[in-house]
Amino acid sequence: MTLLECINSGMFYLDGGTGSVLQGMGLQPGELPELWNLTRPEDIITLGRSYYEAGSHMICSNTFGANALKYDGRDGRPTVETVVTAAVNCAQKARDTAVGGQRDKFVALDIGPLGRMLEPLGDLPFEAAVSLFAETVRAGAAAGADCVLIETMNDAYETKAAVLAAKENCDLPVLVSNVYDETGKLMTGATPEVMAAMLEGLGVDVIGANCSLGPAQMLKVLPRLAACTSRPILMKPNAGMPREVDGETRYDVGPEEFAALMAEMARCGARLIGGCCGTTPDYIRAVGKATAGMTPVPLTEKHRSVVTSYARSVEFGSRPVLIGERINPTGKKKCKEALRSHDMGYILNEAITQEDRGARILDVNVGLPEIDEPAVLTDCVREIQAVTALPLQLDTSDPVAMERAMRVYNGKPMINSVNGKAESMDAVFPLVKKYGGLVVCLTLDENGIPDTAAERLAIARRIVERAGEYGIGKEDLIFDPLAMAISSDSGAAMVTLDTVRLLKTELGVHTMLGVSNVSFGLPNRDFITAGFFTLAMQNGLDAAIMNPSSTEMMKAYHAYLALTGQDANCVEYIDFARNIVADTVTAAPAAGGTPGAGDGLRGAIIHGLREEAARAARQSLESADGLTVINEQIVPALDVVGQGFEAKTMFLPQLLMAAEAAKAAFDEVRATMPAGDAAGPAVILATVKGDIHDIGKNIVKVLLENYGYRVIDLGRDVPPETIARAAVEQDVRLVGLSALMTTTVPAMGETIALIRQVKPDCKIAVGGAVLTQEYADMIGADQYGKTAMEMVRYAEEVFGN
Amino acid sequence: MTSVLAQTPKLRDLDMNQVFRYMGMRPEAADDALRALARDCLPGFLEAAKPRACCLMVPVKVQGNTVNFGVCRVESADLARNLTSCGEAILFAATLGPEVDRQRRTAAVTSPTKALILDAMGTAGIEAVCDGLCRRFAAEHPGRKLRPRFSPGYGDLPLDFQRTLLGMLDSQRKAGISLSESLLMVPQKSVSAIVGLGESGCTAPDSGCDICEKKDCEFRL
Repeated sequence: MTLLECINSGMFYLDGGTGSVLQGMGLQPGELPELWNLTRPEDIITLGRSYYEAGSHMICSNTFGANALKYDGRDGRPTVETVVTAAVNCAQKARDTAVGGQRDKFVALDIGPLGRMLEPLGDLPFEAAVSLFAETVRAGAAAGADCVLIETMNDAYETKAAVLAAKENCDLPVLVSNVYDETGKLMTGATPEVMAAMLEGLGVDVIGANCSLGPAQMLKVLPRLAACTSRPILMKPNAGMPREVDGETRYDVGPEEFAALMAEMARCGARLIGGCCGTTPDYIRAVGKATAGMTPVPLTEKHRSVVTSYARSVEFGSRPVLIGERINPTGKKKCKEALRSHDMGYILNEAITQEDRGARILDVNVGLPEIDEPAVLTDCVREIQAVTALPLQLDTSDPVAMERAMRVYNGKPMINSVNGKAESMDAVFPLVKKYGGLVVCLTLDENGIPDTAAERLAIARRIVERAGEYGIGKEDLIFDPLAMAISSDSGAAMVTLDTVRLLKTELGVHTMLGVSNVSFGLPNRDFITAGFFTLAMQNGLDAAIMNPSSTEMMKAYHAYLALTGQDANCVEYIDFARNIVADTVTAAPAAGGTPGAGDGLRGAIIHGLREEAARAARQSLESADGLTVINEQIVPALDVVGQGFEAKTMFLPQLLMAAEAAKAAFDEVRATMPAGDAAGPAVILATVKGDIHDIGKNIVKVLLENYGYRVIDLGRDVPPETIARAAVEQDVRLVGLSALMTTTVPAMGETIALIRQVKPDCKIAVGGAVLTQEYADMIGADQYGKTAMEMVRYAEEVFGN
Repeated sequence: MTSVLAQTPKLRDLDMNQVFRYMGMRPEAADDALRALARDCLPGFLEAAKPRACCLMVPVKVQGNTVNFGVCRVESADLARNLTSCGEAILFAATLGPEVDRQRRTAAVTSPTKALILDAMGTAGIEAVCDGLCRRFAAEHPGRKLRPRFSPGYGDLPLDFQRTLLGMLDSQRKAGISLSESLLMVPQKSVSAIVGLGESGCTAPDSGCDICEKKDCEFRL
């Protein structure tokens, strides 16, 4: 029998702990267990054999940490290939010499975490992780492993990197097991629902959990996984919690108790069972006995329509899902500018604002003719995922951009879009098959958009069939029957609404609309759009791409939920409606403040009252022009705060609050001025290569912007070349560099040296926790900025203000 | 402890005075607006913080400037002094987890002040977790005197000892703490340290400022 046939034919027994057993055999803390494959192969073979003889169908090769970060072939260390080959050979020898046990015996290539955190939380790039895993996979497959078992993964993103490496470098079945905590989440936040959706999308064969929890706690995670995955489930808990007894480590769940709980797991849907830390061949023997004669719970297809981020899942089919449309340059001047100038701040702000307003998925479209769409889309996806846990809808007509974005996306994305044209389906469906995703399908084809509901339905039918040929089920399709402008065809809305209903009743698929098209060409478009939205929901619409900041749209949504009994006790409606009242009635101005600070705009800024400052600025603008407001109110207020900070009567948080208030006031002023005005001199800021702490750099940025500088923020962990290139290309006269640790100061020195070479007229200021005047002198900086205000003062000096 | 034990310490509240201190100000200088903002941030911060730790007891032998932990050794005069007359030490690593890092990054987009407050909360939080762990070690070893906790980078203990220390603690697996290429701990709000168990002498104060070289540090006590 093949491995998958064996798994499908009954209960499947795995092995128990390896590391914890080796510790019992003398493995020291910090010692690399994989070296034993080479130095003590007999011990590894004996351990493996004892698992087979205890009843394991499959054991894991001793390759948990066998990656090129640890085994690089340098300084006497073996290569990955050497270690992995030896380990798989040991496991095969154990299998071949085992007496009794199961008739069918298999060897899994075991893959654990790399030991480095991926970006954006850590510094390891996603593709670097894929390459590292790929090396291990190739070595294991070449040595003859029967499958790849990716285990003890506590991060969804690293899991995805490992799965892609396995899929791209061998044809073996891929089994994946994650580490959940007591709250049922991975360390980086994924739930069982998220992992199931993402891993099924990636085409994984078995999904499960191991380590960290004892069997009783893991039994609580299992039903959630069983409810959402259609794949066989693997469970390898620890032998309870480790305790120190008389100088020895003991686990508090013995073999009999463990086995009884594993039998319960089998009844709840686990099919591949074994143990992790603290379990031994005795545990596996007991598990076999306790589950003897049991038939596993049959596998059933769950047909869930789900998209996820790294932490959150959104399911289609119950209440309508709001998809925020704001990150899209079409018809949005500011968004266009932001994309052209790579102003991530604008994009991220839109993301967070839409989340706050109630969007549950964010559409991301960066399609502009003059930009490198694949590069910009992947950048946006990475950056947006660093600040929000909402799933994203990758919206592009460029297949290259689509693939690259799907690859770096952390989770199972929503894809926008495919249509009935053969060319479109042939480009998009293979990507969905490989990376996973839920695809928006437009009911148009080579002949355009049909006029009737019946014809649109026919296209949908063809799309469903074609997707099926690629192995994509209709739960991963969501149909957009295309809302057209009623101003040019008064029957357009009805055709679309009919199609929504027919798609649901005739085809049993989910539907989605970009609702706002319907009102194109009409005044006060939101009135029409919101009315249409309500009708569409009543016809069964599952999702809408819309603007969550539109009050009319949110009114329609909340009223619909309340009226259709989907908002128990109208709690959400009341919450929403209350806030509307608060927004439209003018609130009384906030009270006084410190004596002497002055009232109005000036006082609001000095006291760091953001909303108050915006309101006061609007008021001032009624009687004065923008420049006057800036010069007579905002700048003097900033001076008071800056001097207060320098005199140590005000402190950093207050300086920042004032800066935020001033920014709010500036925004009001700018709204009244012609665009493109008042862009001051450019300053580059960056946290240097190797450093991921950026709070100091961000503080300097806010202050410099306040003082009118145009800050080019290159982010963190920035290579010297990137900084130097930006300085040359944008002809920048001042660069500010930040570093937190002594280990990253050399990178700062390299950056300075490089800038000196290519842009000798550029001044360089440095700052950060570890820096001192001596350090700054040593690495050749022009200026050491101890505080953010010192950086502002230095900028004034450089630009002669 | 002959092998690494994983722990999940609790963080239920924060000393706001410490939070203001880490923001670079005297607590009494905090005005109402700042206090209100900090109050708003606290519940979300405490929810995001998921402290985890791992620890390992090792034997200690000090010879000159060499400290020998049995499974590894390191050269450091300051650590040798710290561990004088200790027969054993507890190695530990602790973290608040990745969610506080994400939260701070999200806050930075819309409000740098909130990001600064959350950063200070993170520092105060991880310090409180470490102090709590040390109090617990003290309670578990009655009669022993705990030395001040000592981290790689303190005094002349090289920062690259971090690799050895976290390797021995199996910290990635036991507490989700890893190292970046430039030896920064990830998640950011993490601490690793050595706590000597002495038969006599001082009991640990909570800070290691006395032996630190950075005399001009704003946070020096």
